[in-house]
Amino acid sequence: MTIFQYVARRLAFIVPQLLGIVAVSFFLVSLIPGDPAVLMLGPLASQDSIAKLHASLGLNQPLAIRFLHYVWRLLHGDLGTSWQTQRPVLLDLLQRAPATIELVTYSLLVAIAVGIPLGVYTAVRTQGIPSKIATMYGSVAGTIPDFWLGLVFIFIFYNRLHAVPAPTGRLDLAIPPPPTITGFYTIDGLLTGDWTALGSALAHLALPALTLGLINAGPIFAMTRSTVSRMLDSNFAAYAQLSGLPRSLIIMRAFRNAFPSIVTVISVLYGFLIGGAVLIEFVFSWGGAGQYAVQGVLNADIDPVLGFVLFSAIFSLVIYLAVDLIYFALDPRVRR
Amino acid sequence: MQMSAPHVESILRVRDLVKHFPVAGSRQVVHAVNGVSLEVYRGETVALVGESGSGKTTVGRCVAGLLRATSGIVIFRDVEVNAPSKLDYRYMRGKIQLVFQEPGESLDPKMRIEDSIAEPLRAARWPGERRAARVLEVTELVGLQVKVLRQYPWELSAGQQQKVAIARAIATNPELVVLDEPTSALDPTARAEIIELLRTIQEKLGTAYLFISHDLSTVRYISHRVAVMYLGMIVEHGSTTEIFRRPTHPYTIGLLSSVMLPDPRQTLRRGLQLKGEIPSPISLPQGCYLASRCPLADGRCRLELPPAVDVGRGHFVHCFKHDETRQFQFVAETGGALPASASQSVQPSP
Amino acid sequence: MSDVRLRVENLHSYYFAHYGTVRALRGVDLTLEAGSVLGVVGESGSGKTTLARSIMGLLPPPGRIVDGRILFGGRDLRTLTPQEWQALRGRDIAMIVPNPRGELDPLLPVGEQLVAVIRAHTDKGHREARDLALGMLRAVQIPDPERRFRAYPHELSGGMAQRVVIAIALSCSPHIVISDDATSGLDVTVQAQILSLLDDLVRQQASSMIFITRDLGVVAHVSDRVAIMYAGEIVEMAKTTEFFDHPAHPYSMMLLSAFTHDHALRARWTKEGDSPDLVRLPQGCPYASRCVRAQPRCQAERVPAVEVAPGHFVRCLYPL
Ligand SMILES: Nc1ncnc2c1ncn2[C@@H]1O[C@H](COP(=O)(O)OP(=O)(O)OP(=O)(O)O)[C@@H](O)[C@H]1O
Ligand SMILES: Nc1ncnc2c1ncn2[C@@H]1O[C@H](COP(=O)(O)OP(=O)(O)OP(=O)(O)O)[C@@H](O)[C@H]1O
Ligand SMILES: [Mg+2]
Ligand SMILES: [Mg+2]
Repeated sequence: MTIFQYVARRLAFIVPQLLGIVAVSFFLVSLIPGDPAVLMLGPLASQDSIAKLHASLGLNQPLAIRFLHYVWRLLHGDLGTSWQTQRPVLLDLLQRAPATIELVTYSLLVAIAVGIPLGVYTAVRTQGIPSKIATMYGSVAGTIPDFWLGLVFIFIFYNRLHAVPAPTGRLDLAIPPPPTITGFYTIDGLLTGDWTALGSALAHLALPALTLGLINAGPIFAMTRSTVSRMLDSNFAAYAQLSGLPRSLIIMRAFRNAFPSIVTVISVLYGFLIGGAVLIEFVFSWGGAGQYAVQGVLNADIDPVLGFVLFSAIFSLVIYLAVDLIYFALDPRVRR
Repeated sequence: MQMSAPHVESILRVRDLVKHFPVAGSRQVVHAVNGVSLEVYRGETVALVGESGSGKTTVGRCVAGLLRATSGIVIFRDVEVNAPSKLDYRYMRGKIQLVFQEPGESLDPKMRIEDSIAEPLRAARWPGERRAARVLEVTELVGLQVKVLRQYPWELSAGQQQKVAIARAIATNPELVVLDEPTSALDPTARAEIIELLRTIQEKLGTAYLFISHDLSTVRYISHRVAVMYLGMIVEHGSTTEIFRRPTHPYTIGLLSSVMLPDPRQTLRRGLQLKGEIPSPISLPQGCYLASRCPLADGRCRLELPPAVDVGRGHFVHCFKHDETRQFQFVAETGGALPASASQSVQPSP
Repeated sequence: MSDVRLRVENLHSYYFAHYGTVRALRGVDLTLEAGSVLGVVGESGSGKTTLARSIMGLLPPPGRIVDGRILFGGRDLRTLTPQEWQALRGRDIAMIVPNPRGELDPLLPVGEQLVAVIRAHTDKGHREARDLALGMLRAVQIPDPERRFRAYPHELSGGMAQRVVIAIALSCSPHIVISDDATSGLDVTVQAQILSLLDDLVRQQASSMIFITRDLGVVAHVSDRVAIMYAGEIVEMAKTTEFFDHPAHPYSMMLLSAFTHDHALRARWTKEGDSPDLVRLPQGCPYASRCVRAQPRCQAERVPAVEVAPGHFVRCLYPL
């Protein structure tokens, strides 16, 4: 099988997968309590005007019809409108998604930079104090609430040490965003040579990325440690040792064999964090997509919620496709 | 040592059996069995020998009705095994049984031995009282102590487990038992015991065996006729004496000359040596399947599939070169006795 | 012929398992002469792999050598540092393992794995090592070695993978090759090919070999001397022809008789009994409970090895 056939086959599955996800989430979202018309018109609105709004929003039609309408609009690139922002959901998402993706990506880089080396270290040296400390960290990391750690960091690094700017979004208020190319401020800043914006964006990213990174390093660490130590115990490592290969080479081979499992954890985390970073987005007033979706849920603003679900589904599917490609490149047993 | 085959009635006929397996994620197939025909008579043992992957197990499973053949027919008595009607099915139940290589695998670890042995009886609708009596009967027949009936498989040794598997297989008085390498997981002492047991059972009950094995010395000892398989085809078959006295197919000769006996003076024949290994059953070679490994192969061998040739005395060979192989023929040694000096005079008591 | 390559003296290796101490090797003595092949035969669990791993200095935990000496090149291997061990393994003493497809790194082409071993033990550059590796693949008669060089382990048949492992073991012309059950999973025709290949190569390189197997038939054809193991001891050791002509231990007789279809003979030498429990070994001969010649004395005292003929040692109070 060539890589193109492989990708084509995967892509063919994406459309039905997405349709399924949209259907399920549409019906789930319809269960959200609260009547958007009431929320839009306020508590003093008359029955009459509420009924009219219902009709114009199409809310008095059966669920199935509403779903078909939604899909029809989707096919035309219309994700609906948020009644809160009064803007098309697509535009809102295009503006906010990069904020979330940027945050999540940097967080993940931190998590990888912490989790993998620690995992390999503890797999190789199972005894000793550093390994004990790392193990302790690994078991604690997953249990700390991220928003709490975020608040602690803000207290230490902002309130006390003044080492970072105020936790109020992605840039200092006085600095205009760099010209939009990708929507990621760090990349746009770099591409356009807007060094002030770049510096400010990085400074604002530091704390939330560190928070999310340190917490999510936990699963990466655990997976790295367990798979690398399993590989070190495996037959091929024993055989390499019997053949007199140097220890460093054996560890490298063990890591290479463990890598696909590690990539899997990373990809799952990546997809999860798109929605899972929402508390941190709130704490740091990030203005990301997760925050947008939660506002939607709280205010029975359905289109932004659905839009967000669709966005994270596409994102996850793209990530999984990328992971498959990595497997394809790494593991000769996948190619046939 | 040779048993005379009681050629009374044929109970199993296999004609042009073909079995393909799909290959996951592709349109290709594994050509596991490519046109096998064979016949088994009442009370006789037919051995299937051949390299790993040559399709022996697959033939056995098709015969036992565990696998549905891609094409060809398997007829047990008058019943088509691959498509039995309801009535036939009831008639057949319990008449063909299978014993696997791994004794542990065929026994449910959560079941007591007595329940394991009773299972096929229950499937064949034996009434309760007769079942219990029969379980006791076969347990004694295979030479197990009655106390094992209350035990679980993991409490038994591998040899005992295999005896249980055999007891279970013969409980329903089958007419044919497919034995798929029943001794290869056992150490030599247990192996010898099981083989002896199988012979005793056959003498007493007249059961026919389809005996699948790698172990040529055992095959020679226990079977009346031998079929040699290679890449899903039977390349040579005949009576046991014929096959071991006058091996004719290059593959059979290679196989027999690879047997190493515990006798340092045995001369290993290097006359007709096969090269390499069995080709992939996914893309079958054109012509004779052995051509890539055979030192005698010529252009014709690589183009045409050789038909069966009768070389006399009911001995059939699929080989264009069966005349040339005669010079490599030898009477195969497959053990049987210790080096004379070691065995005869010595008595156990010191 | 008689200069000794390897001498193992009074080797004891135990596994300190949670359920007790498994005394897997109990006072093994053996010598391996230059250019000769020693066949080690014994039933499953008799300690063959433990012996091989002890010599290689890689007993898996909870195993440990508790006593004895392993003399090679004028040194006791038990005193080597980890660095010295690493240099020695694969270069001076190489091992051939069973089930080679599971022993090779699944993500690396087999040729690269061969190159890695060559480069670990020589100062050859990648090019030179590659040439040598290709030469080795050719030497083990792998057809189309250039293509097979790039093949991954799962793309090889069992016999092919076994050849690769032999190529790896012989690539640095080791003084000693230890083959542990190397042909057990192979078909007889392939086994015959591989054995004759191994035999030729080992003799060509003037290496010595310890050939471990459960198959007496194979041993009769590849080895110069035979050692029979039972319950962690070598119970009989002799030249191959001497052993097969005059087996002296009742256990050896039992093994040999199991190969025959002579019912009476087998019954004469076989007695039902428990296989030895290495945690709770009896005081006397561990085979006594299954031995047709056993006398009360056998249960009572530890049995020393005696020389019944020149170079033929037996651990039995009543040898044949
Ligand atoms: N369920 C299955 N799906 C796909 N291929 C199969 C299946 N069962 C067997 N095969 C393939 O069919 C061929 C014949 O297999 P079979 O097990 O019958 O051989 P065999 O002669 O019994 O070998 P062995 O001596 O190793 O038991 C092999 O190439 C095997 O890989
Ligand atoms: N890691 C271990 N922990 C505890 N006991 C062990 C361990 N490895 C082996 N043993 C025991 O040591 C004894 C010797 O085992 P060893 O593997 O050396 O036998 P072997 O002769 O190589 O057997 P086989 O023919 O099955 O390979 C056995 O009783 C076995 O159960
Ligand atoms: Mg089979
Ligand atoms: Mg072993």
